[in-house]
Amino acid sequence: MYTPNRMDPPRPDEDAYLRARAAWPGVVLERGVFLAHLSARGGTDPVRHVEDLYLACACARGLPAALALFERRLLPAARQALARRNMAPDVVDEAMQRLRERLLLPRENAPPRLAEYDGRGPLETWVRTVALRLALTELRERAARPIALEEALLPVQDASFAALKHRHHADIEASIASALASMELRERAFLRLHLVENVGVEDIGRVHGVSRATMTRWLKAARDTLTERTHAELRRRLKVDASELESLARTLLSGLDLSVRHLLR
Amino acid sequence: MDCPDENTLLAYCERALEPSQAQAVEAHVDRCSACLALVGEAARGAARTTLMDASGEKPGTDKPATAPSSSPGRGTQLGRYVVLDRVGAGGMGVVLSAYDPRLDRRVALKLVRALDGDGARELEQRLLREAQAVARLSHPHVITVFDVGTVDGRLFMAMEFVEGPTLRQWLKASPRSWREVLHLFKQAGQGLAAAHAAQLIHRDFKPDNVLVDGQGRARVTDFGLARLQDTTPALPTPPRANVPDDDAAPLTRTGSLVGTPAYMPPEQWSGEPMDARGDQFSFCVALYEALFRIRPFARGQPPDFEHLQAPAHDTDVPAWVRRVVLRGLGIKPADRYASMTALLEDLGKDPARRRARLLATGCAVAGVSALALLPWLRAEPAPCTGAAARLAPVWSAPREARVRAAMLATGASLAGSTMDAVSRHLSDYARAWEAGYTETCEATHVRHEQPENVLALRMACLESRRQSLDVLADTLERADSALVQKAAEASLRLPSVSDCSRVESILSLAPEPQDPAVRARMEQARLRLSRAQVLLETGRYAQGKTEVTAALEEARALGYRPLEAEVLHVAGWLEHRLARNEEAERAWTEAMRAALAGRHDVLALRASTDLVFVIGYELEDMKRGLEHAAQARALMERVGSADESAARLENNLGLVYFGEGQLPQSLEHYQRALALRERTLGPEHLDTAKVLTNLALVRTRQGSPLDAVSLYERALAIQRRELGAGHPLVANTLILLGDARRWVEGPEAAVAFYEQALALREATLGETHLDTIRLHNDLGRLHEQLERFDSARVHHEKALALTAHAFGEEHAEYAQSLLALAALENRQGHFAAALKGYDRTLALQARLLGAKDSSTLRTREERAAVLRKAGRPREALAELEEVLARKEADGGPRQPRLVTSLVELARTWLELKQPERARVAAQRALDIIQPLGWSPTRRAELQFTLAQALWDAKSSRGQALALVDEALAAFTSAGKAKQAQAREVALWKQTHSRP
Repeated sequence: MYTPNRMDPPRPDEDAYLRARAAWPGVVLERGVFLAHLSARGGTDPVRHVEDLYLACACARGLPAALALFERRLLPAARQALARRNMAPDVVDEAMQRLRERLLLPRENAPPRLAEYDGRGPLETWVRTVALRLALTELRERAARPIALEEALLPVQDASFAALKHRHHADIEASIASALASMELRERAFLRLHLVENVGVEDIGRVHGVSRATMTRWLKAARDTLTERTHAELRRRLKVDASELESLARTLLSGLDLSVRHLLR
Repeated sequence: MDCPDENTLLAYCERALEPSQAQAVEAHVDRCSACLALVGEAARGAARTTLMDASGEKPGTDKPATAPSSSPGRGTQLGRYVVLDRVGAGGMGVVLSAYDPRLDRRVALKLVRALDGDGARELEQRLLREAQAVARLSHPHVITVFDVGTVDGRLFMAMEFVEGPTLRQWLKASPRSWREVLHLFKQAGQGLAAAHAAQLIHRDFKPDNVLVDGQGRARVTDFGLARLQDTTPALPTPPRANVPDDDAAPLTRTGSLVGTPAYMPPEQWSGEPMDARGDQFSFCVALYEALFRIRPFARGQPPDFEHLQAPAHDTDVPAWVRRVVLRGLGIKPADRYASMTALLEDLGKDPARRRARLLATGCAVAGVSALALLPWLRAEPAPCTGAAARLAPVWSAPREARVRAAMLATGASLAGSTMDAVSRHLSDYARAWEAGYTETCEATHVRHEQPENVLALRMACLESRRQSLDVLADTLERADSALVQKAAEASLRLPSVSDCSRVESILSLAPEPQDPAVRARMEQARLRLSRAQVLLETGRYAQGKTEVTAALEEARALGYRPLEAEVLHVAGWLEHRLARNEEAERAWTEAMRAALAGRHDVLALRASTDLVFVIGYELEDMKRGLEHAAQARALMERVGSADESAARLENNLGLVYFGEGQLPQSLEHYQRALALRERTLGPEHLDTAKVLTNLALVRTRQGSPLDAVSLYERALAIQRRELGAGHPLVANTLILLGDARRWVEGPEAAVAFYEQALALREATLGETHLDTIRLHNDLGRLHEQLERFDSARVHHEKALALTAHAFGEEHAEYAQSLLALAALENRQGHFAAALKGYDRTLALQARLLGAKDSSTLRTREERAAVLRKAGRPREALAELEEVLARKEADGGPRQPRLVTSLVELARTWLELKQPERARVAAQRALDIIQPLGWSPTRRAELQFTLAQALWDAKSSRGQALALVDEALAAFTSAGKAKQAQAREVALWKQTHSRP
């Protein structure tokens, strides 16, 4: 075994190994094995979830202590993630079984898929995400009913709006769609996360590296832009010259504004 | 479109990607809703307790430096948190401000005081519930909970640290205008509404539990008493002397009476269950207090709910605001708004503007100004309380008792359990009707947002629903045993009350004639329609047709198309139940036309949805069925949100694809139908059970019988509860469940289910009912598989005798029974006897059904197989070629119906030592099933035949062996059910694989 000499420069890999090993008492991986695993996935730069990588590596190698941790800590999180999307219990059960097969069983000429985890995010999140993909694409449980953003933006409650919507449905939809299309990719991305996937402002903020307050501001700005452009487009489409049409458009627009605010609150 | 892998998505959320890569992910997510969901999932992860903190197992970090028993001092480590300061204390324990090094921010840490004694567990549980419930909420007006857990045996909860006063402090700090007050309360109300939407009740709403943050937003906190909304009663009221009348005492120390006295709703004082409307009351007490600077009710234990305290000073709060608050202060929960959302909606409306609009459109607004003049009249005379009285003559306890007596008097074994289901369903219906009536009335007379003409139309709709209930109850009062069987379902099939609130659809209907004489005739026709509907659902089809014919004549004479459409729709169902599907198609097509002519969108939608099923499934014309589906979708767009219709359409589409053998598509539609029904009807509804059994059938076909077993079990539990354990539908599901179990465990497993079902059918349907007779055949076939030929013969012969008795010998059903016996002979190897039986069957079928009928063709196919086995392959060949030609002439060269014929043909060619021709036939069969997603074992049968052909042709023996291996694997993994086939293939392999 190699013992670092006092004169050697600091060894981040060594630190990583010791730290990771200490995190999982009872899960013992050879130093060489782990470091090879680590370096094959890009080493410690940038800073990675090395503890989680260690556990993934141990699971992929079938260490019983690691598998027990997988069962006890990671699966329940995945199960919860699916249950939160109102998937039927039997679908969740099947997904869990498939998840075990998928992640832990060796493949032909390749290690189990869990070895692919590269430590750029928490392992628990990775497993949850794999589970969700599995449920969405293979079990075809469309728990996330693909709601078009246009649909989510239209108010359903407001009775006075309903009649207008009924008559100008196509125009309204087209206006929102064109307003959305005119927005920046990134704005659309966080709007959809917020509106369609119901991800909290805090979490979206983290994805974009800003505080909750800033994210709230961004969302508000995006909403305002969206409303403004939708209004402009609607005005153009409905050709609000005649006074009758004008008052109609005003109601329509206030209804829309109401719905957008409602959805972003 | 290739989706990025999980590592990339996580890296995106962790901001570990290059800008260009991140942009690529965003561009992908923009188009891919699945990946959007994944990003959402991954993003959500970051805020939650991470892996290492999930339990106390990791040494070194989770051990606090001290074991605090009261209030940990500054610098104390609690889990990963470092205590900064003590912020306050409440009934639950202390609130600390702390630092979270992982997220590098300040959090509020709520630490439950170390408890012992009786209340400890209850309090702990309560807090855990709170934390879990609140952590599921993410709302700008609710304080975010990050983490929850235990430290050294003490529960803690980490939440967002909000610097700012409570709402009470904010109100006291300086004089606020009513607009400012209302603004903040509306925000807090939105927080409450979001909680309610998540089935959470606050149970202790008061100004002390709302914080005003740095940006001036209201944030509701301390869902300390919130728990998942349920119907269990609240805890009993303690002796009143124990209740301090004091704002500062958030909880009684016993922990039994929960809430703060001044804000508690009356129902909580009397120990009744409290729902979201209780929070509404508390909210309105607080709002009243904030607006008028006096409590609405004088202090007391409980407060004096009978008298409202008027403000001491003049106030500029408008009357409409007052009115909204007063409604929320209704003593009975039913007098308040239905939800916080409804209340907030009214708080957000400026009636001055609305009034102007109503006036402009010429609607009646009488009453609005009168109400404004009487602001202090606490309980406004409620104009909409008549629902219960209106419904009483139709459905009430005495009438229910009469129905029960009549049902029990039939002596039917099902009567008791059926009546339980009926009374449950009908009282649900009555409640929905009353709610609909009250809501409709209030929309005009209380909320003043609905014109009189809409009111009249909606009331007419409700009236027809009331009439349907009356007709059904009337029929049930004269029950016989046949009716008992249908009663539970019939009571679920009353026309929907919620359709009466589809204002747009009702408004779009062609206007009704106004002439009184005409109206009277119309009433008459409507009554006939209601009767026909009930007769349909109670299985009295002949009487139903009489009513329908008369109603149709009237509707046509009146020239009122919407009514004509409704009548035709029922007529179609009557035809369908009588298995006259062409007539059903005609009736529904006419119904749809009449509906379109009369602008009855809802009915046009129903009719085209039903057409999908009768044309696409029953009449096996998929293409036209799908055309109707497209039309139904267009109508759905017109009608607006229509989850129930969507569920029906998806289910029908599932049937259509199933009928065509396209299993993956069928599965997808059924799954959508299931999700929709679970959401709209609930997971325990009979119609949900129907989708479950449909799904199970697909899963069985796809070779996943284990899935099917659990689906059937779910359906069975629903049917037993909703229809009673002895209902004939339960027997159907028992048989299907038996079949699925047979796939998993072999034929023996199914016998008990079949016998149970047989006993049930004999008791409810009688011995000579066709379903009972055919079950004898099914049982016979089971015994054949188990090689218990004597028992098999007993069942088949019994079926034959019963058919002869029930239908006579000159009948297609008699032919079916003969066929079953012939198959038994074949199975036992008695080919001569079998051929004789087939000849008799065929003669009868050809005479009664014709040569083109699919039953006739199937019999010929089976007969050909016997000829082959009996050593007469040339005759078999001639038969099969004719059968194939007939089938192809009917449905083209690539239909799944050809598969059985082709396989048999291949076997015959093999017998005739023509392996190349056998190969062509087998390959063709395989090509047909390739895109259909059939189960591995059914494919294996074809593969084995093809392998034999390839081997005998000596052309590609390697490929033959590979196919055999595949088939063997499929049969082996199917377990006991395919044991015999597995043995046969293994034997063949043994004798052929050696050179």
